[in-house]
Amino acid sequence: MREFTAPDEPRAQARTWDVVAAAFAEREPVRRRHVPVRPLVALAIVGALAAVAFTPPGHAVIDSVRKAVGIENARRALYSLPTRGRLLVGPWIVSADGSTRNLGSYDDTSWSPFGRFVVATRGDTLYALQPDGTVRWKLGRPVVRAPRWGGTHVDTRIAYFSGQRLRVVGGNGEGDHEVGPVMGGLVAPAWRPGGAPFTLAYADIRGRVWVFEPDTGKLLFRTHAGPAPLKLAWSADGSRLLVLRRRTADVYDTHGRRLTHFAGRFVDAAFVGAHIALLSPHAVTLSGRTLFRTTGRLRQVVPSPDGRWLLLTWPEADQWLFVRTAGRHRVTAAANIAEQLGGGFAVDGWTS
Amino acid sequence: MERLYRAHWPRAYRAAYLVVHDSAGAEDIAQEAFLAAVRALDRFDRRRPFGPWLHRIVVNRAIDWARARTLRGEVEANESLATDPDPPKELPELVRALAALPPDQRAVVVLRHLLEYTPGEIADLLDLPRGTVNSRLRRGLDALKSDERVHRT
Repeated sequence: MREFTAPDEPRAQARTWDVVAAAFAEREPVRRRHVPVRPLVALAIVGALAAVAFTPPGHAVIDSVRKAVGIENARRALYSLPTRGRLLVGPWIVSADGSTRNLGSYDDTSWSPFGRFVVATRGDTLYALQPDGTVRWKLGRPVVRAPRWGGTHVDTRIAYFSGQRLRVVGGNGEGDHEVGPVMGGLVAPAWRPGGAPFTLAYADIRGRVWVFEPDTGKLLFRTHAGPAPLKLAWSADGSRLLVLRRRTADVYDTHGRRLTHFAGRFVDAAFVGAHIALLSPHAVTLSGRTLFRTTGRLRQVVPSPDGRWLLLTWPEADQWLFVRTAGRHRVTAAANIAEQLGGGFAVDGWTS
Repeated sequence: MERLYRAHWPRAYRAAYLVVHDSAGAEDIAQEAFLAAVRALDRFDRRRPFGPWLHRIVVNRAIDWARARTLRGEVEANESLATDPDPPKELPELVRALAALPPDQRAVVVLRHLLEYTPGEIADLLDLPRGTVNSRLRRGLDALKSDERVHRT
């Protein structure tokens, strides 16, 4: 046994060293007694921190905190995206050239197919918006949340929750009605890409995932009960459904057969072409390859429309990281995201 | 850090592999253990040996991983992280026989015969009574001795 060499040992050693070396380089050595007292006092005044951030000395204080958390050589702001497309960040649209547009005061937001429109909520009202913020139509419903727009170029539907009741309305604002066999849970529903027949996945309060055709009521399949899903997402070709829970990620085909099972601690996941990016609190993997790992806590993974980049959000560092999915390993970071986007940070979609 | 890594990674990875019998899982476990080391580096008492500290993390995580995998009855698929990307073709029979043991027995056998800890040290590493360690070691070695694959080698 002492002479044993494990499979893949040299490559595993090299891969792991990349990650360990990066984590070692990013770590902030523990500061001892020589840390100046004044910055510590400033940091301790939580309420004043926001005001401090907008004065020149305040920027220096925030920068010293930032260096202890996040990528050290992050750009001071988001100047551009690494590839084509537009991000939706709450009521903000961020274009590839880094320009931003605010749609108005909205809560939940989501792109329509192909990024032609945005669906948004504010209070008890559902809105369909053009990307310049113009309201196309609106619909009043109690406790409206988690809207998702699906369909084709010529026929679309919006699914949303009114309280725990799942409802569907046409992309033109007509035909609103309740659907779904049972009450819904917290996670947003997910339309299968491609349209007809329109197929929708949603989770109920027992953690069962239902996949059905809202137009006919036909049930395609239903999973067993389990912990509440964190996310439901279809592959781009509509052939597979990802059900992400805190400890598992399962992929099903359209007949309900489970094709893949991952176990771990997950906070997010996404299809990247035929593969799946899995995000744990400290790392993102793609097809079993660790693309990035940190001692900080990551929150979201969002693939670019062309699949060449992953956007990782790092809330405590107020940074977005862009990680290449293939080819030469590359990570770039942009800081001060919430400041640029008026407090916005969580990404609601990246479209072409 | 690099010196520590080069000195300790191979045995950590091999120990993890022998317990979980999955190279992707072993890589993740060894990686996690070293990242824990990076996080704890400033607080680590350098008078203590690094190896036992690292091996404690590796083997405990490996046992948890192996137990959880058994309970789940995972489905193997093309891009599953649980699938060994580099299926070993010429693994020693002893290693294959080891994989047939329960995770708890595998762990103590690996700690004794790969990492060369005494039963007393193993008891400390795994927070177990010494008698439990001796018992698992005896049962594990008995099972290996009676395994036909081992006798064929």
